[in-house]
Amino acid sequence: MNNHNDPVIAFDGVCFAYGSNEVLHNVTFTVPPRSLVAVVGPNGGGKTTLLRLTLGLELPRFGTVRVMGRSPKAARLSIGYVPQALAYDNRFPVSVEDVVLMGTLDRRWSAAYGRLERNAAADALSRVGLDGFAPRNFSDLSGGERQRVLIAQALAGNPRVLLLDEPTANVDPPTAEQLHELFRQLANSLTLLFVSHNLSVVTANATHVLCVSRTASLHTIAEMADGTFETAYGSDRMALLRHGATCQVVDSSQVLTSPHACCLANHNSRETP
Amino acid sequence: MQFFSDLPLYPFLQYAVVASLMAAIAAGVVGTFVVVRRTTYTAAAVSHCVLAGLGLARLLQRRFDINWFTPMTGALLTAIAVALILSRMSERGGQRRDAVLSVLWSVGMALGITFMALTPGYQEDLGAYLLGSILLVGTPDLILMALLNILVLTTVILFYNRLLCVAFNEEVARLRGLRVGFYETALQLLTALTVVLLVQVAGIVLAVALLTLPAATASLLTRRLNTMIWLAVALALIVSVGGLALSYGPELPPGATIVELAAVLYITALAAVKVKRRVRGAS
Repeated sequence: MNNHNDPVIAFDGVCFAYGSNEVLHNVTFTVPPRSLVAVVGPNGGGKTTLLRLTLGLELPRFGTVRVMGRSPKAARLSIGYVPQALAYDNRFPVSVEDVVLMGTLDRRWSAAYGRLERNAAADALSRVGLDGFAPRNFSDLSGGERQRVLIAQALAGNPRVLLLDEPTANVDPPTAEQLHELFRQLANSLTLLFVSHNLSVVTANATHVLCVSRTASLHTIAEMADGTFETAYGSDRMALLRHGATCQVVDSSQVLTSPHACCLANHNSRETP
Repeated sequence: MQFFSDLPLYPFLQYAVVASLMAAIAAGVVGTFVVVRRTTYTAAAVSHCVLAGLGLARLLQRRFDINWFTPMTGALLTAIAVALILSRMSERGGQRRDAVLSVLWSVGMALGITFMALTPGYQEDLGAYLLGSILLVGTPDLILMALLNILVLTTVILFYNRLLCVAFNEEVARLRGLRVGFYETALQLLTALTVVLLVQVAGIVLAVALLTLPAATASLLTRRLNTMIWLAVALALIVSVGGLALSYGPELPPGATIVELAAVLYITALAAVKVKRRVRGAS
């Protein structure tokens, strides 16, 4: 049985590879309850794979993954997941309410959704600011609205852990701010992990930062504010690009072509042009 | 119209109407899932593979006196085998789906042709299966169609929400703990059984058209899956009974007339949707 302060997610010596390509090596960390964890790292560094291991959609080659003290598969119905991009047919005939209601499905069979499920769906839509959207066609929505519907779908299942893979990648800045405000509220009652490349969003919202680049290390946001980001990142391929007030993690090859490069996350050097 | 005046007089016409109605229900319901899941190619592969089962059954009957193995039994067993192979392939991945479908499709046809060549005597039934034989259906065929309709309707009513979720996105379904493989196999089997039923009405060559055209027409007229199912059933009823009636007077092949009528409805709906969009855009 999971106690109130036990880790919600625990990786212990996890290694994972796609064929001979090792994506994660000896990953060990624990996520405390009711934390808002930003997952950062380079493209191909293993962020999405780490989320898929947490969901039990992939199995580690070595090591163990526990979610609330159970295997990811056993804990699956307590985990909400919003993928980076949902593979679906753009002409699929389905309403917003239908999509959100899918988040309430579980192994117990019932021929039709009951009042409980419909109320949960309406409540989830309201939480993401989409009141009145239930009867609309899912395919008629904008990219940002669809993203919010998928977050509502994840919330409708009443999860204890919410995993979001770049949840604000396709939304405008005001909507992104609304969503991060929602994530901060949700973190009072559940644990959230969100993948982001925007460091100003990370530092403004997260309580912890999980740096993933083949290995992984979890830090409190205070540690990151102390300037340990580059060291914690543990990669010689990464740089921070500053665009006005925002700071973005990019591959260091882009630094050569960008006038905005501010620092290079390297074990040995830090350059500021 | 001669069809309606002859209908009360001839039992074979009454049987054909009942067969059309039952084929329409299965075609509308299962065809909707085939269209939204974009598995038309799968249905076409099953329909062409059925020729192997039909040919083998006739060969065993004529050459080895195995009379219980009727062409319909052969068709059903072949369709079920192909559906299971395809759903197993979906679960495992690895193989290119379009390549496997093409292999099954052509090998099924080739085996069917070989079995027919090895069978002594004239293959009158097989010709009917290639082009449809709705005017020849008997009581056993109608019983089989009724059983299939009960199976299709029961499955879809009991598992509608789950089938909708699996059809929309398998990963979402998997994350909610649904047994995606089970529902995938169920849809494959229902598609295969419906194709066998439609082979009786429209023949191997045209069965897929009857399965998909009413559902494709319905998809132009609605944006909800449950409404699409009802519409597809209604359209399939109109084209199957309408096609039968239209073909009767001039003695046209009923299967081909049914499919042609379905195509006319599809093109009409497509044109209507385009006109509506243009009018809306102009205003």
